[in-house]
Amino acid sequence: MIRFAIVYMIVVAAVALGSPNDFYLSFATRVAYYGIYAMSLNLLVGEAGLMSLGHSTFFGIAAYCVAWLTTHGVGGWTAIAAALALGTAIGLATGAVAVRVAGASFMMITLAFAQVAWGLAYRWVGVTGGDNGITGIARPTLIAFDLEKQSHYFVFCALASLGAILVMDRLRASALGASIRAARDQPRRMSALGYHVWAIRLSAFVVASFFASVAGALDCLQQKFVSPATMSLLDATMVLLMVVIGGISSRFGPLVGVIVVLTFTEFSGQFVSRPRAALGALLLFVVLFMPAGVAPWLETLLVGIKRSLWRARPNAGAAR
Amino acid sequence: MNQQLAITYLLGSVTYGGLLFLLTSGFCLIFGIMRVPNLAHGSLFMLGAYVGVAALRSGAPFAVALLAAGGAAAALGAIFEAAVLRRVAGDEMRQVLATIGLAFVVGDGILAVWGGNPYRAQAPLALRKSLQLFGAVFPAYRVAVLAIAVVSAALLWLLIERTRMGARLRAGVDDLEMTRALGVSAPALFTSAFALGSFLAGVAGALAAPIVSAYPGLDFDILPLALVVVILGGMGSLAGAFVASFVVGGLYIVGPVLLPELSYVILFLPMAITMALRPQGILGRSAR
Repeated sequence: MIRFAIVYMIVVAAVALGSPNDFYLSFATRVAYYGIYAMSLNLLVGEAGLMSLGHSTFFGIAAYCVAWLTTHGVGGWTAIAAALALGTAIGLATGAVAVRVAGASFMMITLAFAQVAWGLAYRWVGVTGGDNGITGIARPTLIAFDLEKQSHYFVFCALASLGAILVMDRLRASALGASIRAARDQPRRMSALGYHVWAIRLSAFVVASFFASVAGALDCLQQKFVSPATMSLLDATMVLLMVVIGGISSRFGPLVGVIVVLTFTEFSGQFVSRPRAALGALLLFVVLFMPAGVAPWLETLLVGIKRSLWRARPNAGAAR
Repeated sequence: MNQQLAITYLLGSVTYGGLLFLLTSGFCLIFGIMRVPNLAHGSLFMLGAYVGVAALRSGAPFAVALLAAGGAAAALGAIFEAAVLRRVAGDEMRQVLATIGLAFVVGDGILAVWGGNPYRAQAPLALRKSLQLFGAVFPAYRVAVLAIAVVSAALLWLLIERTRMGARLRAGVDDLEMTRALGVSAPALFTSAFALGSFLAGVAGALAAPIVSAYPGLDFDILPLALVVVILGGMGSLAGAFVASFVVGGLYIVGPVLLPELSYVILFLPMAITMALRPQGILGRSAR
């Protein structure tokens, strides 16, 4: 299945590098790091069964951290490291409170925390620039590669994305991954067996907030701009929609969801005047008519095609 | 701080607490029976505010404006419950996503109908003066809001504790399976709970409109407050919501005076502390 991630990246790269201008390259860059973002949320929603409505908090905090530090004379790489540390630390602090409960309470608490973060970004004008956000962010150089060049930055993001996705996939297959799923399905039995359900959930939460911070830092350097919108409920919902469209807890479904949702938001602006209502309508549509998401549907489609190809050959049964 | 100012803040806090209780009691009703945190609740509040302002501007009496606002919200809530939520019953995650979807559609719909500028209406003429209370000057409208909130809370209590519908709702909250087995129609119960909860949100919106005015973004400004109240009070506990409404109302009024830039954070502090010490909330029954 690692092949899937690699094929995915190659497709994204082919689209990007074969494109006539920077527009598609920027788009593909966003697909790359939104892949990290959506996969990290899927770790919570799909694997741990914790539906976070505040995942944009860590994305936004890392973005703000990179923006503020680089515009205050700190080097790009130091700023990124600090952003990852800050995002993860805040994930640890808020997660310690939030994962004490699951289900609806967890959703509401994460949403409340996210609104605090948004409120801070919006009203703490002295640091965050308020609604105007922070502009004038420069990308660092990596050895001989000037990341200011969009194609270089795209390759950088694509590699980071591939690495992050593979790490998260390893985690999923690890013993910790198994206990995260077990804590989702049978929390009482797990604690009866001596597992610390709170600690297991918290570790999933912290890992997810780390990878969301990675995506946030990459987003800040891509957009060269950060505003409270990155932490809004709209953005938090958009990532959630990516996971849901892709198929909750399907292994690489969120990546499919990223492409669907980003394409939708990028191009729906040309046809409808109200993108938020369009996103809401898409959400309702998915909830009502695509319970399992696009990825499982695609999977059955692919299996069906494979089967019919096998059948077309006379000795298919013997070959198996 | 002198005494007059203190009394003004106290009255302001209590008024705001009353408004919050109207809003969150509806949220609690819906959550208590359907186990769905209705994230479109702020949108129903905003719809109530806009409809209320529109009614007042067209010269309708205040009571009519309140009922129109409540009615509009209740109708939308009932339709949404019957057309969408019922079809994804039992799947918490999808239900919540559906309420978010509704919130976005309603938010943009209101923007399309009423435009992006704040939409204001003045309080009814009889309530436009100010009152002298305990030596402090206070707008009469806010006192009226407090009175309406208290009366509504009392009516709600009567409805839930003393009527057949209330008995069904309480039974549904306690044990839905058994209630259904005893012959209560679950769809009717759900729709009426959702409609009643939406009605309360709409009325709260219309009551708040002359104070805060209706504006785009009101929905997600008010929703976090409702969440904090509900988490603080205990999920689905009306009594808990009542207590917590006044705590949050007080913080909302006094916070900006003490720490202007961090006022928004102060609101969430008691919630974080409660979560750490008592995850089920002040008067909540069980931590699910």
